[in-house]
Amino acid sequence: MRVYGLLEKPIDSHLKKSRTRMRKYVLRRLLLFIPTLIGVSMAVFTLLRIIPGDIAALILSGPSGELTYTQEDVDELREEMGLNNPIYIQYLNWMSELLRGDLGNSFVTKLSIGEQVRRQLPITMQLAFFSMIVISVISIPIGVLAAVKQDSAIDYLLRSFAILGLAMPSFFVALLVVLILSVGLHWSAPLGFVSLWNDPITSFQQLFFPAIALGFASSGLLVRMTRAQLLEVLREDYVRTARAKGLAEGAVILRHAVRNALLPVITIGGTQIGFLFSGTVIIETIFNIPGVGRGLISALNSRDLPAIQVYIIYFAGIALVSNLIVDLMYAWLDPRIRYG
Amino acid sequence: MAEEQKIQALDTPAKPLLSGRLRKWLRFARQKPLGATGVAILVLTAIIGVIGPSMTPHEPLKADAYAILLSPNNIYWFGTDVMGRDILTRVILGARVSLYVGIVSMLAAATLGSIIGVTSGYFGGKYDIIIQRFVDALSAFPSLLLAIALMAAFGQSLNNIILALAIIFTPRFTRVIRAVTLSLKEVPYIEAARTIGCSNIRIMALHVFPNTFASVMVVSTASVGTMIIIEASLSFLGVGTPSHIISWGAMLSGDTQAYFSGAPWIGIFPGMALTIVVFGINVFGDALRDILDPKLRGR
Amino acid sequence: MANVIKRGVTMFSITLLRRLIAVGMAAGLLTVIACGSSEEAAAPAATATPTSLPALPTIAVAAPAATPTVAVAAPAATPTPKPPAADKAVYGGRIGKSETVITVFDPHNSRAGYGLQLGMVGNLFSQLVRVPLDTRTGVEGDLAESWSISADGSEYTFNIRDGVVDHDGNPLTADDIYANMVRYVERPNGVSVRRQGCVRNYVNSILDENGKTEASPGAEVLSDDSIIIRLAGPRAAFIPCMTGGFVMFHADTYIKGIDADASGENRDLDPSKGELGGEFGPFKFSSVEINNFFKVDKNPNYYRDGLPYLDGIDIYEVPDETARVAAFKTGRIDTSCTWVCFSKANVESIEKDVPGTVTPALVAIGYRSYQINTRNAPFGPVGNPDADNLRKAINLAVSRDVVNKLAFDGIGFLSPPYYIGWDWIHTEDEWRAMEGYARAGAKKDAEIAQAKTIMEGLGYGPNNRLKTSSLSATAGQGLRENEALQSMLSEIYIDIEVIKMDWATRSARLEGFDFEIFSDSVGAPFVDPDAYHTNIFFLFEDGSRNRTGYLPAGWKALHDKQTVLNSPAERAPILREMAAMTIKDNFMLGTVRPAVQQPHRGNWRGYVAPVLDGSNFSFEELWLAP
Repeated sequence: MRVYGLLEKPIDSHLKKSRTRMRKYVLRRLLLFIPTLIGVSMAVFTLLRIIPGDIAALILSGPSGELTYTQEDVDELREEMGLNNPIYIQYLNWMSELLRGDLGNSFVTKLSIGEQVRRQLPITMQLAFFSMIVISVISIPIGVLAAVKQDSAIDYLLRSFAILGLAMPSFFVALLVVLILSVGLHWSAPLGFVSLWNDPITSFQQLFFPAIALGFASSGLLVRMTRAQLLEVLREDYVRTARAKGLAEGAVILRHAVRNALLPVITIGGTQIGFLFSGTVIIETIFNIPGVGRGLISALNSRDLPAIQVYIIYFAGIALVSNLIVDLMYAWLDPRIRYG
Repeated sequence: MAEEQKIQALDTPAKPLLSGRLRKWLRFARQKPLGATGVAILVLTAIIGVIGPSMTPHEPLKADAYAILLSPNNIYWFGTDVMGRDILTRVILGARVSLYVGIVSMLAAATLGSIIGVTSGYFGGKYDIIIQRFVDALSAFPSLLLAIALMAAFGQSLNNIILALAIIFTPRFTRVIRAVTLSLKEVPYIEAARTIGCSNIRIMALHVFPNTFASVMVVSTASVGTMIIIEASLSFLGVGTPSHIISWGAMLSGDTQAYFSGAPWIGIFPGMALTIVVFGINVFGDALRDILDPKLRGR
Repeated sequence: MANVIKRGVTMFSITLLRRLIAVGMAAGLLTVIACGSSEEAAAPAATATPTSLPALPTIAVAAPAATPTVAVAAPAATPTPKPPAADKAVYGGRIGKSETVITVFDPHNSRAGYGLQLGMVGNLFSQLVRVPLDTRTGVEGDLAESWSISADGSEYTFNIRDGVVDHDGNPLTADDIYANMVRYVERPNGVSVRRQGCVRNYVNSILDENGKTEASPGAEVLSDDSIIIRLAGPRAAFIPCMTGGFVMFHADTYIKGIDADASGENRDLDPSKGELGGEFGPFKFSSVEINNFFKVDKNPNYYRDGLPYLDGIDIYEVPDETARVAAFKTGRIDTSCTWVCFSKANVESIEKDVPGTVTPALVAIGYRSYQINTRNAPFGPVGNPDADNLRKAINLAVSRDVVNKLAFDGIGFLSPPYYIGWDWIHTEDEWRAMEGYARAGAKKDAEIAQAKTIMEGLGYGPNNRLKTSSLSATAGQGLRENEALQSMLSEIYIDIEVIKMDWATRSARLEGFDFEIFSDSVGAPFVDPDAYHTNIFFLFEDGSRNRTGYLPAGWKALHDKQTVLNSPAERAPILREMAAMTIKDNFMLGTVRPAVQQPHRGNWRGYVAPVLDGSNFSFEELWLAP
């Protein structure tokens, strides 16, 4: 899933650069964003309503399915949830509330889901931010080094490390990190999450290892991209010219090659944001961070249907928006793109 | 492009000392040590998957109330789980299921993606636009979340995981294959085929599809690893493989989470097995990509 | 690792359970009632002898309903703190605790997050009457100073303790108690109060359909400091019910508004709006972030002067068990969640890494059994010789010890079917002598061999195996319980397909008798360690969670007879008869009563863990050794 950043946007060099076409492309891309979003919401809504079994009964039986309830309870809840209406009415009701900014109330807490997401979102943002730092710190130097030492033992070693990040399920990395820290170093992160602004030191302690675990999993792609881009750039004429001028190899690489190689890497890195956020689902649960990802898991566990659908749409929305931004940036950066 | 030249060098005539095929492999191993490692891992895993069940040291399903959570020892090399079952045995048997899930889902997604991608790119027009909106909507979901939603809807079973993975990965194949098809459409011999009156189906089947094969291979190898990881992650979240089926994902989920601190071996061995195999698939995929499609190297 | 196994073998001992209990709470209670008949006030704690085994029921005879008695219990007005003799209690300090989820606060609103709610009973929330914290046996007044029972045994008058103020500073009155009783009985605005069902079952309705007070209402305020509660009939089980961990009382300040809300919807108390100020417990609400933490501080105005010792309790949401173990080992938390939290393997790893850790075992209030559908072949109908033999073979092949080890960490206790697993009915040795219940060993092996012979007699064998299925929970103990059955029955030529499904789906299949075998837990409604007052039937009119489609002839009559009896001495023979019926027909095979391990740090003093997992979890007498 992380491997195809470029592949999905094939380059077609037959088409020429054209400002009007660019504008048309941007407009079209923006317009298509809306039906896609509607499609996504319909897909989520339908999916969560074809769950086998009676949703009301599922909710009433509790997270572990042990609670007892009467048929009266079930009927009451069905009525409350509007489950007796046809599905398209349910969808339209839900959409109209959504458009009025009302994300509905959780079945568990009875509190507004909107508020819940607003509380959790900044937390996940902080984790994602830290992870991006980790990813940059891990992947760019490693990618550069691997390219410079192409086909050497160091290259293979570094690439293996990057691919290992892709090969380990993130929850497995997370469990190992928690276990090693607590058993080996007698350390675990302070409990009770605090935000970066309120208490930067505690917050850093709480986010450091989750960001490493998340970043490790996501950096594999960027390592490989950095390496590939740099290898290509190193063969360009201006690099050859720079070398011919007698510049030191280090200066050539840093001043000329890396700078040019990184632009597409960073752009494509943007497509990873959506996946980074979905990675928080598991990482936040194990590392005890009360963000959106854990919100989704606890909603899943307590069968909090209204919350689940908001969360999934939220994650899809993040991915859609980041893809949109990347597409637009890419079109802007690389005029060879086929506007279609 | 130095590597390209090296690869071309693979086709130079073999010297008589060693058979041609073996020489090729040796050269491949020297030039692509990671890829060769990947091949070795996959071959080993395939062997374990095929003959493993007949060489397992213990009963995989038989619970033993008097051998619960034993740490690795000389009878149970990888220790035992919470039901007193041998973990080595289950890791060996799990190879089969994990590979089965990965490969069957990949084949399903590749087939669906090829059909949709080729037709969508070849015919274009409204059909293409509608198909692409579906592809866009499906691609909008981060794969794990879509998998969670689909599994919540379908219910837990091995076939449902395969179905969900096929649905999630089809858009990837569709996009790539559609793009290849679009560029192939302009190629002279396909235009020629059209001019001499070949049917669309014939052109797609005989001329377009075979030429997308390299891209399909590249996407496939990289997808299998991700599919195996998603299967494990779903199990971890409690919506994946049913626990009576021995898969590495199932071995990492459920009770394993509740006993991991006290008995880490119950999760570490299946986790390591999974990591090694996915690593093998990924490095093999990289090497394959370099060989099949030098333009896409490293991406 | 072999050590681990050996250590795990101390199981199935109801005697051990008894030792844990120290003195049967109900014995104390009954003494209260019995002594009350002499018109003397009796302090229950005084009659308790904490180190000895509980008195057998013969000495604690409850007044039969027909005999008019008046019982007055008057515990010491304001008990003074009593630290252990050898140590001097130290004030101050906070403790950390984990919960799996922190979302819901009001124990009356039991939709999720039971752990936090239950853990706060005795800390943030108060009860009307409670099990004393030091002996964990008998009953003492909490918000009630004393109570008396009417001549016919169906009216309870509670005298409210003087000088109790809530965390907002408002004095406690009988109106506060009344508002809670209305919640329990009338469920205004659909307030869930699901875990307080026994109150609702026993107490008369308070309001009629039009919201007018009934002629003989279930609760009526007599004065500022007394309230009368009227039951539908005499029920000695009412007091144990009121000591249950979820039966707590808010001030009426906030709940009245919620209950009268025009929207017709109930909602949780909102801590951010100060709605947890109407509580009376030793700790008061300090701060909260949903899904993150919940903190309470010492209540300086607590009615027991000088208590609590601690400055506060910090509770953190830690959903992942590996992270919880890490948090305990690294000193971030000092105790675990209130409900199931750590597996035995993790407790052992904590004990190894954190020397001095103390791990009390709490007995679950649920009982587990395998139930067999007797409506269809091959397991039914009862009376068909083949079907009877088949069920008998299954019962013989099921080793309760193996089920305990495989599914319940080996720390559970033997559980006969229904609620008849008490040694005032049969001692454990007597149970063990019954068919199928033998301890692991030669006798059990012989039983399994006998089961095999029976199966061969029915025509089954290695090449002709019986294929059947069981409905199972999707994960955890409930699943392992089914996998254990699968493993045990494969020895006697039965192949079970374990079908996993959530409870709602399972429940629908069960009701349609669309199943062959399933396993289930039956939860007791309230804290009653010796079950003198626990009802056998409490969910379904025709037999608890008996889904087998079969009840022995005469069972219902016996059941109805023992339900109205308060004396264990009178109940025991009837229950013995009922047990014999169950054992004879093998339709419901009792297995294990699970236990929960709840470690805490070794510097805790003055804290006595509750016996049952559904109790009052107060830390008010806890102090930390320097």
